[in-house]
Amino acid sequence: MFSYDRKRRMRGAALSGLVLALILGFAPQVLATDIADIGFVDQSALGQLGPFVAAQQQFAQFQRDLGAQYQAAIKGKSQADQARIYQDFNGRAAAKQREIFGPLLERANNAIASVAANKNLGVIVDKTIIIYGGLDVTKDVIDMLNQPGPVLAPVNSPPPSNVGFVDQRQLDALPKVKKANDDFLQFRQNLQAQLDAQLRGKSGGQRQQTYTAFNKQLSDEQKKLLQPVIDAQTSAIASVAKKRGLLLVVDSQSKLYGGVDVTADVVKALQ
Amino acid sequence: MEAIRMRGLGMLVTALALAAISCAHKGGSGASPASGGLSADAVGYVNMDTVMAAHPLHAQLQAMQDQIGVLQQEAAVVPTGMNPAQASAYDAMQRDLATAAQQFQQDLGQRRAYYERREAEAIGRLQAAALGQNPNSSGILGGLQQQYSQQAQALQKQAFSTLDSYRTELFRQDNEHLKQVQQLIASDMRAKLKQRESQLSTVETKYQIDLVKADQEQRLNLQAKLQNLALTDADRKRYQDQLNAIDAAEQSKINALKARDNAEIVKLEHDLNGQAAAKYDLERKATTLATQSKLMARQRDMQTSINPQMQALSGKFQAQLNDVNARLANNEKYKAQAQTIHDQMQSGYMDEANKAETAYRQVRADLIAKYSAIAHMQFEDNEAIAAQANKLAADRRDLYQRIADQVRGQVEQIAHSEGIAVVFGSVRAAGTAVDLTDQVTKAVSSLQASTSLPQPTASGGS
Repeated sequence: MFSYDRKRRMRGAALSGLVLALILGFAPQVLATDIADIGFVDQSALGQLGPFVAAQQQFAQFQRDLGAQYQAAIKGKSQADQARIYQDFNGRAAAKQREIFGPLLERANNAIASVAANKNLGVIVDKTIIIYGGLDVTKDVIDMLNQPGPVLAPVNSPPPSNVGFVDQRQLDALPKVKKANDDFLQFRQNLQAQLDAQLRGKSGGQRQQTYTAFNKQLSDEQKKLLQPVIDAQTSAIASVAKKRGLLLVVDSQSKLYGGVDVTADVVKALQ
Repeated sequence: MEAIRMRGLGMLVTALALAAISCAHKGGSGASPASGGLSADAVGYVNMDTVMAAHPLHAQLQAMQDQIGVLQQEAAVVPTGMNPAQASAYDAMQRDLATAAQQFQQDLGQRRAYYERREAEAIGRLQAAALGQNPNSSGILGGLQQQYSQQAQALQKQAFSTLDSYRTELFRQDNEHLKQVQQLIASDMRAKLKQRESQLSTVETKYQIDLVKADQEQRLNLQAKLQNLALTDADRKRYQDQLNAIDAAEQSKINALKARDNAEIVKLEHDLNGQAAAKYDLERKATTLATQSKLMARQRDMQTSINPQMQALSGKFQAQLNDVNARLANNEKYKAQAQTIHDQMQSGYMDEANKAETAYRQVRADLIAKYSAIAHMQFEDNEAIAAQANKLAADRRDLYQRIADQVRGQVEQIAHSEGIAVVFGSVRAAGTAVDLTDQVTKAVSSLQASTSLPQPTASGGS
């Protein structure tokens, strides 16, 4: 009996050794590879390229024209009609934006994906969220974008990454979050109406005081209504990140390529 | 013995583990982008809001933000409590201001386009000269791009022309086929109609004969009576009327049958027409579908055959472009001259743009003064307030950037000493990454407000 127990303990020790070997021997390799796999792109530099500048100018002109049309369209209309017209114009602006920027963004995404594939990067994020380190691939992406002819997406999918991302829009669509956002918006509208009344007949310093009080009220209400929701989301994301062995999770808007989408897990955790 | 063997196995595994660690560190950290001698193989993050809040100049940053908020709200305010005349003056002022803004933007756009065109032409001539080509020709890079586009378009045009011919031929065949189908269906319909008409006509003839036969005895009887010369006029008229009645009854029965037959023929024609149309439509749809799938298959084939040619063309021009770019990149004289041209054009444009903006601001001020006088109330120039807010926002961005650069320096030092390879400044949540917020916050808060901040950046920061 004693000998059997000891044997089992010894086998246990050997297995722990093997597990230790796997953890210590291979995990740092994986970790190290992942760290070297984090790249970033300066999107503002891409925005300064000729086609993007031209597209921005074209869209700005469209927005100016549309703005003038909108002002003419809402003149003398009821609030309900104005809201409907606003939605219509917003839709038109969004469609134009897609039409102008869609092909450029697709080309940029293909270039980023190609560079990532060539350099075997698991994730590429926007430069603004990296404070130190990482591999800057902006120049490679710009070189690829400047080449004539089409930029094709790579055939291979991104290698596994230890960086996750979450789609905030999906979290915002959850009933609790939506309610908190709607409540805050309603509060803001009510407060804005009060502000307009309070400002009547005031000038200079008095106006400034009124604005300051308005901003403070707004900020306090924001903390009260939205902070618990934000905290719950952060906690859920952190819990999912730990469960899935991720280093960290960024907002999907900062992620340009690769990474692990944890949105579904976070949504599930929040429900 | 068993225990010793097991212990030996455990030690062997541990030794392997240590060897593996050593290999992993050699291989892993080599690719790390962290600079410096320390092996950095971890990822960290800081909460930038917390860190920025600890900076000695954060209060200044916050005050600027508050002021921006106030100005932005002020810029969005529309005067309230106006009487109709004042409201009308306000609307007229807004219209004139919007027109002035539009004209200013157009003017600026034209000036910018003019300088961009001049710069492109000058750079084109300079490139041509630097590459030993005719300086009067248009830009080399643009020329290459144009050449590529032309060849690519020619390739596509040729492919599409072949496809177009194929499409035309398919449509011609379809038309021919459908015409034949239409003729066949029409002929079949006519035959069926004719056959039924013939059948009904035979029945009508037989019916007519049967009626005549049935009335024959009575008719002959009456005719015999009428041949009697001694008949009184009244009797003659009566027999003649009876004879006429028999004829009329026969005719009426025959007409009724013919009317029924005609109605049947009309219905049959209608039904046959419907069947023919359905049959033709079915055939037309099947033909169109077959043609579409043939066209799609041909289009796929065309795409498959054209893609390698397009890629080869693209590769060829990329190589030419790389060559030209490399030659220009290594030509210091060209680079200096190109920079001079750019600076001259930029400066020319900025001078004109500044003058135009000053004039535009004056136009706005005059308009506001004019309509304020008309309305007997002081209107505000919301755009001027918004511009003030934008200016303050730019100053704030500049200060933020300089503080952020200082924070970045602190992060770099801490990351270096902690063996952190990459530090994120904005995360939704952390998993196993190292939180450096406290360390960086302490380092940043210990900075003196008087410590000289890095010089303002030209871009104004983010």
